Amino acid sequence: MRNIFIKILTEKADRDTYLVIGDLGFGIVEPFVKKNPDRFLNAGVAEQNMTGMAAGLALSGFKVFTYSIGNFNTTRCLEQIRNDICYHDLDVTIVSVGPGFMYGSQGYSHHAVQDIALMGSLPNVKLLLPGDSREVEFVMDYIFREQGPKYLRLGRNCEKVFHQESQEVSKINRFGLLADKVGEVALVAASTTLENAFSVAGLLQEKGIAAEVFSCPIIDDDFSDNVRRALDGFKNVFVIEEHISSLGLAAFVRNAFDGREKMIKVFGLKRDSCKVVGNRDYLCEHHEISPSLVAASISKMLNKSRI
Amino acid sequence: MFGKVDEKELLDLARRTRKDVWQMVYSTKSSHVGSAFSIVEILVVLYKLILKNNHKNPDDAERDRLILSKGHACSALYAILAELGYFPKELLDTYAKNNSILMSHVNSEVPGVEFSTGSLGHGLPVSLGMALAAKSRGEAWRTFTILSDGELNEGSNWEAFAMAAHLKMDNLFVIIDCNKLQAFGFTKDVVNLDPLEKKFEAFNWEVMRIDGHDFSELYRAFTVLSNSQSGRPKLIIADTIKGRGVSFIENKLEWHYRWPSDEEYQQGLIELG
Ligand SMILES: Cc1ncc(C[n+]2csc(CCOP(=O)(O)OP(=O)(O)O)c2C)c(N)n1
Ligand SMILES: [Mg+2]
Repeated sequence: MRNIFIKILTEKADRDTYLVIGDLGFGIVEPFVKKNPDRFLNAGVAEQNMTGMAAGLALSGFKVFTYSIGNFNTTRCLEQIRNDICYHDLDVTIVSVGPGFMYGSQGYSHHAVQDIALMGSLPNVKLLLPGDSREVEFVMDYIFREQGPKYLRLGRNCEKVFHQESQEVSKINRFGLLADKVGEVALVAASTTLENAFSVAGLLQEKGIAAEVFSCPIIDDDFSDNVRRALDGFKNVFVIEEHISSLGLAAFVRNAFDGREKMIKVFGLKRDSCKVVGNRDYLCEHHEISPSLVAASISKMLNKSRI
Repeated sequence: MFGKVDEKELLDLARRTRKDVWQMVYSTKSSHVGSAFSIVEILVVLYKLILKNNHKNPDDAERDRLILSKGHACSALYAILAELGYFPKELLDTYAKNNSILMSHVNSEVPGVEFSTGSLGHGLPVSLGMALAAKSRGEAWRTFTILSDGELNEGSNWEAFAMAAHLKMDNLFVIIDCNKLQAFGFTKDVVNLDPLEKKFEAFNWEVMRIDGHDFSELYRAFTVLSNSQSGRPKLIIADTIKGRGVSFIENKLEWHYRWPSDEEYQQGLIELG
């Protein structure tokens, strides 16, 4: 995903595009640097300064991207984002690579599991949560079309593509796994959990439960309307998020329904910080959001409600 | 001889540490081997000659504290702590694996580790707080912090440098692992901080600059600074080589990220002796 992002950024960049990195992106950002060497700066390991500078560049007419990994260009410089970029509604896209447990074995400092809550609570911010490369293309179009603060949560090594060639990407996408049958279950996912949602749907299908997957690559002002329309008719909605439970994607889905019209169950991370390390699969299992645990839990719930 | 310790003992410990680290990163395909190799002698001198602490009583209230602010180099610290008996050496085999406390950024769940880091620029302010705690209670223990040179980009450090001098924290020792490389280039090309000594002197710190792979120079610097009555916080700029010990990884940017192939692993073992 990082490579597709840089490829598109490099293609779309003009003299008003500026990329600032926080001493990260080795082996990734070079194509951009080659094309636009005087519109690139390694700001060093100094994210607060990087973010303040991004605000200054944007104030002076640039479309700016800050690039780092995990929490470093989000929580580390949260007040610069809040006051300098968001309050002033500046055209800065914060690009953070490796959300959730993508840097699992690196330890707690590298687990980005509060980012959607934090970024999503700030004024004017659009959340961009692509789940595959087609959705990266889609959000990049959006970034170059829309002004203002944006947060791009970019998976690391997520190279699977879920959209069919012919399928047009939109702000909410429905993947009808079972051609003619309408699913009884909606699995709503974004960013890194899109892949998990497909695995869950497959496991549920084995148990005779028809589930459809929904992805949400863009959360902006239209989100509530869009999600209500998309999930119309689904009695059972399950949100899967690799993020502290109920405060990420699920918060936006629940808000859209105001908590009344629908049963919305969330699979997200427990709030405790894991004191041991592990790869992404291990940590998802620990937090009970691995596909097998989610599928088991859903089928248990549905069987209960059928009785 | 260094007090009661002879040089061979230090050399052996440094060699074993590097071999342990090489094995850890190889078997788990982990990054940051170069960052670990550049601080081996610093850690050896601290743990064998300088720090007043004891693996049999890691929570001793009077112990000297060490914070590894460049937490990505933790494989070297874990290896030394295991060598010194803080925990069984077998635990090193779990490094960065599922269900292990040996996170690949330093984790305070590990016996002997004072504080978890991983986001750069946190260690020094926390160390300053510890130094302040010792002073405010009139206790004699000291706080040592290892920072990396790229880490000096972070403004949080400079806030702490200013405050530590203002508070006359002469129980605070900072070691800067000056290996001239960071994650996307040479430090001089990213944010050139030269002349470094002059900056710290201007911040009112007592500064020494030495070869960070030389036991005698390290020992002398710590001894001089420990005995100093200047009332200022103490800082050692340790000139080091990123990847020191395995020729083909020395001073190479990509070895911030890479791990050895099978062949490179064998070659490295030979060089490490
Ligand atoms: C706040 C923060 N930003 C970015 C990173 C990612 N990162 C890890 S190590 C590193 C730089 C490494 O250079 P240096 O600090 O000199 O340490 P060395 O590896 O040379 O010892 C960076 C940018 C981080 N760990 N923390
Ligand atoms: Mg360095």
